[in-house]
Amino acid sequence: MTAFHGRTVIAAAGCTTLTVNSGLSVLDLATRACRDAISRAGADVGEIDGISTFSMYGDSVPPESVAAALGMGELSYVMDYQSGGTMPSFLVANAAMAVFTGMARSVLVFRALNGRSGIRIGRTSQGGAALAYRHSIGYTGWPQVMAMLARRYMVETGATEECLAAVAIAQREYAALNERAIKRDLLTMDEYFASPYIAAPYRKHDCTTEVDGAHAVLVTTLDRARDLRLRPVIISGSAWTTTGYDVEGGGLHHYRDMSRNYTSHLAPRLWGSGGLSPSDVDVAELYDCFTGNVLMSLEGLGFCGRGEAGDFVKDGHTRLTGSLPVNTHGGLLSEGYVHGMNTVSEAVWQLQASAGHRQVEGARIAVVTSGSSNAGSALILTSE
Amino acid sequence: MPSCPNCGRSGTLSDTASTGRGRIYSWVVAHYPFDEAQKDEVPFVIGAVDLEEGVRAFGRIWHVDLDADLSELPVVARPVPGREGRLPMLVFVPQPESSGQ
Repeated sequence: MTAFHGRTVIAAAGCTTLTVNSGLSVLDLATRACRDAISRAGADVGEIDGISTFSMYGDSVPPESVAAALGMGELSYVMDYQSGGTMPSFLVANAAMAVFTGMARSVLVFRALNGRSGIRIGRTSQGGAALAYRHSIGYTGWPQVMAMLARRYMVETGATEECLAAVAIAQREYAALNERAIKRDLLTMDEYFASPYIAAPYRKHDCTTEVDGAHAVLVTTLDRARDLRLRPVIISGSAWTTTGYDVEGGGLHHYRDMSRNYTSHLAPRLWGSGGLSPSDVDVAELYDCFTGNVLMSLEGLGFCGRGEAGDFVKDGHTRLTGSLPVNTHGGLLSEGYVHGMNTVSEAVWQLQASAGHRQVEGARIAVVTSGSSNAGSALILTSE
Repeated sequence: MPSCPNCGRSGTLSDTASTGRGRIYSWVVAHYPFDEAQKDEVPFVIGAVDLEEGVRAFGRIWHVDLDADLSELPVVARPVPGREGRLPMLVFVPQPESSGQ
């Protein structure tokens, strides 16, 4: 095990309401989510000296601006990474390293965006060095890039569109139990197949739901967390991978095996870092900007054999009563796209037994992933 | 790329003409036009094509059915001038011997 694993924690997770038009600035959203995390933890803002975040296409605010709005004093740790959903798990692990080494006492990690009323990542044409070539063929949308991976996954494993649909349907069942979720009406197979293709094989219901909102978590040491209000969620394992990066994100010319995502590459280090295995896990919160990503991640992490994830979901194993509840908040698909920071929060709430109607009974070990293609990160979180 | 992504060496890169022949590794059918200027072109097929030279290229796939299984389909490149000042569009079409008609 890496030294900081087992000795660092998430003390609390906080959030704003998720909406389609917040009427608030991103700075305001970020500040509210951070205040919520601090308040739930019962922490003193004066004890927090680090803050980090990530953004895409300039859709957020610098962490230091949020620190100012929170009335934080001198900062000893900051981080602002301009990348997407690869970041939440990694930023938590990075904050854990900072508090473990003594560089910071406590660190807020947040993601805030007006993702529906402001800059809409999913509809934005990407920028980058080689994009001129992709512009001319109309290959610039993230749903297209991710559908390219899903198609190859389907070719190699025999997974069908019904398998994709099963993910969307299963997660909507959780969203129906989640008052924060933006899409709460149950989804049927017929409705799924009646929805239009965006970039086949992906239909509208395979794609995340863009929202305005923010989520934040407070990372500190296990020792400090014992003085706080909530049961500490221990950071027991973590890993990052970048494999076959191109000159720009989404290029993927050098990522040879598109039928697998980053989870296949980081799994050995993730499980090794925590001294745990897939069979130990009670609940999995898997980054799901698109349905296929859930199937690839279930297999990449070793929860299912190659090509078995579709049946695993169809057979109900990922439901609340199943052997491995997955994306218990409804995921980015149905709760909303807070870029995977809400995926971390949900794991925290599950392990603090505060997930309400969607609580997985006795959940003690959770895995969280962040990312969708050739790069990403993951956490193993445990409760005492 | 200023240098080779496989070994990191710079100054040893050179242009190599491709035969333009390859096989479709994966593909998507674009229905939603992410580029407003291409909204009259949807639906269209975008393919990831593994060229005989060992590199992967992305291009439009012409002359195929939108719902066909294109996996491993042999194709050949056909450069097409870009619209309105854009770079040329890389287009692949089925290789004559594979079109089967």
